[in-house]
Amino acid sequence: MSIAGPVRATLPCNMARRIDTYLESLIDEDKFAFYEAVRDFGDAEIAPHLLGWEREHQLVPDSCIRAMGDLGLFGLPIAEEHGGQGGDHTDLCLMGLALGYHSQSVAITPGAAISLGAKPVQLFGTDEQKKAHLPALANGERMFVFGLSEPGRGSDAANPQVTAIRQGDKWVINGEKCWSTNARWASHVVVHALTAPDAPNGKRSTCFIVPMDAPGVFYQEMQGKKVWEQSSTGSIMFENVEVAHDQILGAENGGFKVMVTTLNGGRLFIAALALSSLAFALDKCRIYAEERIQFDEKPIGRFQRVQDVIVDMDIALERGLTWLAHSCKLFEAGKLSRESAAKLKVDCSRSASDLVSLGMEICGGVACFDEFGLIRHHNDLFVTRVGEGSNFALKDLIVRPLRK
Amino acid sequence: MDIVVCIKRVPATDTAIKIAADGKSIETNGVSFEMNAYDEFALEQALLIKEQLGEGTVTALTIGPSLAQKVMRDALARGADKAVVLTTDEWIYDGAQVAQALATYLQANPAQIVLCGKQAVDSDNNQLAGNLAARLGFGCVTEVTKLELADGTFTAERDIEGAREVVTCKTPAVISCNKGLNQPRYANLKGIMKAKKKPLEEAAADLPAAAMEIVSLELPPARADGRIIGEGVDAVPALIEALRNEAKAI
Repeated sequence: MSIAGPVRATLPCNMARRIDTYLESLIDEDKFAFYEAVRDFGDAEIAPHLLGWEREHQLVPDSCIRAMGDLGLFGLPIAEEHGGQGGDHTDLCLMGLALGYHSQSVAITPGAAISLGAKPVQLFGTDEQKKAHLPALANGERMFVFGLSEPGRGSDAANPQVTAIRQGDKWVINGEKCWSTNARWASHVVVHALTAPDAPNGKRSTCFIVPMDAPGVFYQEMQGKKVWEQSSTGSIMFENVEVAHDQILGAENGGFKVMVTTLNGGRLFIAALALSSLAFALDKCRIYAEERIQFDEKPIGRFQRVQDVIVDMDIALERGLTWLAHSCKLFEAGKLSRESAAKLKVDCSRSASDLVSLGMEICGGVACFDEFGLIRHHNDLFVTRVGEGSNFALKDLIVRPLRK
Repeated sequence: MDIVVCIKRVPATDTAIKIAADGKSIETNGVSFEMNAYDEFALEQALLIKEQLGEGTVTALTIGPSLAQKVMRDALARGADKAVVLTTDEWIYDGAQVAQALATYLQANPAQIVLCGKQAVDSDNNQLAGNLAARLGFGCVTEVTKLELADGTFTAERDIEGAREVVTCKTPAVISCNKGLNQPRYANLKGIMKAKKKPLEEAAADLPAAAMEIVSLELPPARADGRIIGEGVDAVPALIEALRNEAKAI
């Protein structure tokens, strides 16, 4: 609606986004209507402000987080009985595709709040924990952050250096977590801590729900990050933090299972973010190729080497979206293997990164500028290669069934 | 309190309009349609009034092809309780025709409050509110930017030339809504899912004969390129000359 805010700001008249064309045939009418609503929200409430936030080095403003909360985005896959929207993983990924088209930073804010924050509570929480937290998580009043990575533990996350030692009815946590997405807004952190150092690998750790305002918890925003610039990434310190035994999420010494299950769904979301950037770049490049006039007063879109890049982007987008839609259905049915989720994330992040770089090359110098938009997606795509399991580490997982 | 919101399905505002082969209508192939932007303010106001009163129903009403169901689903997803499409395959330009068809429906299905946008952004006729109120015998306030309801009486504010007018109006009334009245909500996932279970009815529009006919439709002439007349103070006389005699702007 032009009188309330700009729409389809990046596309000329009568030109549908390529991603819309594919999604419309891959998902049902209701899901597409939901995608359209989030897309329109992104066009009106995010796209016009994004450049300003970037140039001011500003995180996603609180007003934008509230607006996303009002839209129900933080409660997408949470059951209606707990105040959520009753959606599924496809809806979550559709939100990622719709918001990520403009900014992965904005999309990951509700994305991580759900897939790394609310989802573990929904999957592993006790009834009391669900009642206590899910309604406030669903409407965006409360946000959980996942405390997994540490300064000395990235891919080797199954063996945390953060420790929790039992003292009667309570546990005492010490150590440091980092790379925690959404830490700035978090009400609680789910800490993945070492609890049984001598147990077999995969049975050594436990997850705890810890309020961010508990004595001994200290948060600091990680400075100097040049990717996902509007997303909060925090370092969280624990100094003799006491937690009651009933704040364990999942089973005692079952933290690895919580972590692995949580990340599996998260990888589909990261694949969606990679595809959203590819979708933006495809539209940007194909339009630019028809508008940029060089040699004989004709557009550069007539050159086959330019067409090659655009066609490869289009192929990768359709392939990725089709695979993502299929994987979301398997995930919902509990049939998606860890290897398959990893393969999807590796392929989408790698293809999108390579192709967006090539896309920038056909646009030339203009692609260096923030207002053109491609450099933002180029930088953010790096996160999709190393986030939620680095691509190189995930290949260790992928190769396992091939070596039996 | 039963509230009806009149909604028009219009071409998306970023559409590049093309004239159809008949020279009297627009080409609709490849055009995406959406809810008229001013009608979004009307729908939002209806939902706010229902929320304020804590009771009542909001019905979204449109006239057009069956394809208008998509826009009606959007209205249901945002919170309307029921939607009705008065179907016709005619492309209607005559505001009186639309008003009569809607009035016929409203006489059979009475409402206390009828809300609509101040105009549709496609044909810009700006006729519905007054035309409909006259046929229904309702009060009418147009182009409202602030609206309060207490004890069956509206207090409405509207922008007029250089001033703001405050009007009171008893229900039943037709109110047309302007930008600034509210901030329309987006449909959320729960709303979209619920919309599937809400009634969406179709009935043939009872259209009177058109009193008006579109004879021809033309796109505005392409704007000529700009021209630099000169620079500095010396160019002012030539600029005035061009504005007066070429552009006839002064």
